[in-house]
Amino acid sequence: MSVPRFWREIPQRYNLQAAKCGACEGVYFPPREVCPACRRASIGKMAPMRLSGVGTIVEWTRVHKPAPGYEMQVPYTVALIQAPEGPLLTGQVVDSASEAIHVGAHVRSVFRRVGQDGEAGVIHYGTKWVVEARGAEARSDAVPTGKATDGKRRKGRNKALFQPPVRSP
Amino acid sequence: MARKPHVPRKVLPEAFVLGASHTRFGEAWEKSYRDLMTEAGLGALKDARIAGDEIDAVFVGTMSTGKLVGQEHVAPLLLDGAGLADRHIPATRVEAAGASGAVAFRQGVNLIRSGSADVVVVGGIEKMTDVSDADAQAIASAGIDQEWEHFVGATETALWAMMAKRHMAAFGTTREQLAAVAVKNHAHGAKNPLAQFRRAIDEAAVLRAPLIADPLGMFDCAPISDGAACVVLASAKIAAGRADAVRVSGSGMASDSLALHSRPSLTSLAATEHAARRAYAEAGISPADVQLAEVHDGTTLGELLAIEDLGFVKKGQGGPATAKGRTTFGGDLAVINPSGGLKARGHPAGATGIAQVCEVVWHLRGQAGERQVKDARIGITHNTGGTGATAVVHVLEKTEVPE
Ligand SMILES: [Zn+2]
Repeated sequence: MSVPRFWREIPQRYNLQAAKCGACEGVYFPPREVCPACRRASIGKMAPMRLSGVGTIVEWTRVHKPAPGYEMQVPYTVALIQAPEGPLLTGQVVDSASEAIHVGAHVRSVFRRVGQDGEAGVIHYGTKWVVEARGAEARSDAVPTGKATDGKRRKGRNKALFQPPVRSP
Repeated sequence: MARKPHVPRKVLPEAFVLGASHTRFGEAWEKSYRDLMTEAGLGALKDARIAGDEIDAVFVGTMSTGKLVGQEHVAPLLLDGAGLADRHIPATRVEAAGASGAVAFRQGVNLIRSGSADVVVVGGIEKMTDVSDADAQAIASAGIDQEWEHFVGATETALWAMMAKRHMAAFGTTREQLAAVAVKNHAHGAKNPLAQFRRAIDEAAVLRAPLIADPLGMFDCAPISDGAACVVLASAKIAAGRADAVRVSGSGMASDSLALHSRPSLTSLAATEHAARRAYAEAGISPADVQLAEVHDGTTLGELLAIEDLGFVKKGQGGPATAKGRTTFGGDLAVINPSGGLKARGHPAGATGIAQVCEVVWHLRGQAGERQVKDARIGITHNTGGTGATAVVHVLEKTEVPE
């Protein structure tokens, strides 16, 4: 990705900056200018907010044929992560034992190197995710078990997506 | 909260497919981008029995010619290759990732339906093997969200893989049922002389293939291919008296969030559902009326989602239906991907949507040879882009000879 394009998005990438709709409280990541649920009623009411940086794995896969820049990490894990604030995010899960990676596992965001422009180019950083240690899992009670904050938008969401997170004993 | 689909066919002029042709798909190292385009274009004009002077407009669907062969501005090439540059016909390129071909086809249909054209040529092309396999994969993944999916490590196949795992968890779909799609499509492709892969494979071969993104392996994914396809569309005036003209009775297109994570469901493609509903409503048909369907099996899971979202089976029943042979020759449902689909015919991205139309046309005319679907009267095409942010469905019907 080009350098200017990357730097423009730094607040979102580094801080998980989202947008919250002042009309329906729906939270969007990456931030949106308009709430898809409220549309016109949300104009001027989208407030920036920072995601807490925790979430739950909704689904994951081990990638063997990599995206550009990930060649040295094969195989690596990509997951869909449900943030307690509402948004679903795509991200890489790193530094986690493979048996710890499962649907329902609690993850937290970490700040990592994501890529580099050319051989000696600018290094890109961004957000990746690690599975939380067992002790820390207990405090993630905020993880949603079926109620999305933006209910209108999520109405059609498949039930399987919202099964309560599987907790390890 | 879908609006009621607009139903134009009773009032607007109808569009017919008059000619159809595609090159053999595969690695055509000896043929250039221009060669492929010209071969398909001349083939379609010959099949339509038109000289070229009648052409009112040209559309070409292609995904990424700039990155793949360094050439943009490709629409005029189709005409130039056919020796028609001096007619100065308007020529437009259309892009919608893997659905580029079908979206181009729809532009042609719409132009004829609008009454402003009588003959429209629609091509589709991709030349993907001039770059390395890794580069081709990366370019093919340009149809997903670059900043919030690709950049963070997801590939298009990785996203389909996660949908597959969700489908397995939600409906009990098995690894073997996914493999059954590839086995079936290879069996079909073995009877298609234009297919990239003309050999049958068994379940074991699918299961032991190298993984791309768990659970999807190499044989669950459409290949990288070269190929071009072309059709000639005509108004009723031109198609009159042509027994081999195929009527385009329904055209539906829909879109969705570019990123998978922004969509409400991970186990169905809403764009496919909406596109199908619109196309069926225009044609006044239901899936039970369809004898064959060319659907977008970019991955094996893609075909399962397609047959569910197109309404051939209930949601979640795609796996069992395929494993039981209901979607192949002799099954009780429409024959799905008699051509071999993207998996076995090959997937030169922009060409796929047009090749699907060619296949259905050949069946409706009774020209599909060894793989002919018996008594084919109605066939549909289904082409998607990315992980389903674009979906296009067309209904094609055998013509009762207009006198
Ligand atoms: Zn809102």
